[in-house]
Amino acid sequence: MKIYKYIAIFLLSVVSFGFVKTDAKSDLDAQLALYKKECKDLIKPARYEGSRTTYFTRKKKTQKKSVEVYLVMDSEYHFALSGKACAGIINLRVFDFSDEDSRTLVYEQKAIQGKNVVFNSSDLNATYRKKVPNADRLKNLVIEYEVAAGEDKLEGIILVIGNK
Amino acid sequence: MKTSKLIVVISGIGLLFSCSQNEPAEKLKTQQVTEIDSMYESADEDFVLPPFLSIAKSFKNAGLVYAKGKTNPVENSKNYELKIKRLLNMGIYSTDLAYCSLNNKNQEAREYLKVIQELSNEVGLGSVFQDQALLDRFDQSLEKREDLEGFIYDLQERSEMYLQDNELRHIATVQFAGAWIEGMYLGVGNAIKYPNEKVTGVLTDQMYLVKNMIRGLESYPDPTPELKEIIAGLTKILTTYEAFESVKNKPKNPNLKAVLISQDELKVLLTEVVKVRTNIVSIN
Repeated sequence: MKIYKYIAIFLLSVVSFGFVKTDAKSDLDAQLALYKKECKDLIKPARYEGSRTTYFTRKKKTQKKSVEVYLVMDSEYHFALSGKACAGIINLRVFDFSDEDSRTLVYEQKAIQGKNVVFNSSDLNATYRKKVPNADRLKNLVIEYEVAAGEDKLEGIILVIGNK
Repeated sequence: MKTSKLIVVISGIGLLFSCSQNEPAEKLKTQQVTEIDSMYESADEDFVLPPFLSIAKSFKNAGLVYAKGKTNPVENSKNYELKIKRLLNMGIYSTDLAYCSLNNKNQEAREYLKVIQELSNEVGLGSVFQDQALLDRFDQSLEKREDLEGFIYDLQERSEMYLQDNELRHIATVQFAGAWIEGMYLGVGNAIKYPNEKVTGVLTDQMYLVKNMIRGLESYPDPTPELKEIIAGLTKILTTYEAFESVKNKPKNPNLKAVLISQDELKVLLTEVVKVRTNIVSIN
């Protein structure tokens, strides 16, 4: 009889584990959905092309997360990202895509947590052409988030891409 | 049966005791939340694939010439029985829809939209595309090219939102792979027939998408033998391309001047692209 009691408690704990999961993730997703809408407004008049949410938990050491983006059209791309769902420090860097040790930094903004950031490919290209004389145009970017150490709870950054 | 019951009971009791004897309740809760949070962490290196319409537009802007009879006939759609084939062909038909729309072949484009709707219903994405209002909106947008492009972008956004919300990104990559191979098939064939450096430049730019596309396909849960064949075919396209004389000594940076491959290399590339495309569009 005691065994059945343990099984019941065990099953209950499994079920409650599921609820915790749903709550933590869906709360964050609800927040991120609002910030995505803000970002979609920020890229206007560019037409929405895509988005990516980067989820992370902070560790004891600084970590890096990145998103590779393709700019297949010649026309101007607009980027908006929201660090509003981030509790601690996030530094943003944008590089051209090439071997990691020869990447060229084209944009940087420190401490983007709690705010929205906007930039466009025309400005990035101007910087890039100054730094890389045989550049054509930026067609493949790496958007890198440097996540400072901190409390390990789920956070997310939303990136929205648009083309004009 | 008895053994499995025993395992469940023992592991359950083990977990219960390991928790109740060694961990204070608060610590246990934190541990649980941390484990769950880690489960949702994004990959350290993630990517966003571009919309198929943007790829089609970049070809069109470079001077790609419309060639009649090159797209996948809508009649073939009835013969795709496997889910993976339906998904891949939704991608093929998406590029065909874009190709026809950008070249003012509105009736053909409408047929492709209808076939995408049918396939979407068969793969469980009916709620995204299954809508008479969608066809009505398509018809209304036919008069202005900008409206039509806006319609196709909206369609793609609708699909992206549904797949992201339901954690089905791997499905989007399968569709993308179909769309990409159709774009390459139309593009390479055209660049051979009507040599054009700009189109060739767009083609070589497309090759930078392949690695991430393969990564995305490899994340598909329980890949079928058919999907594994497609992954192998795409890998062959990439290795063939990277072995070209025009490519192998060039820096691997897509942001520099586009690599221009020779007509002979284009023909070799077309052979590999055709193999994968034939595998997708052939009747299973």
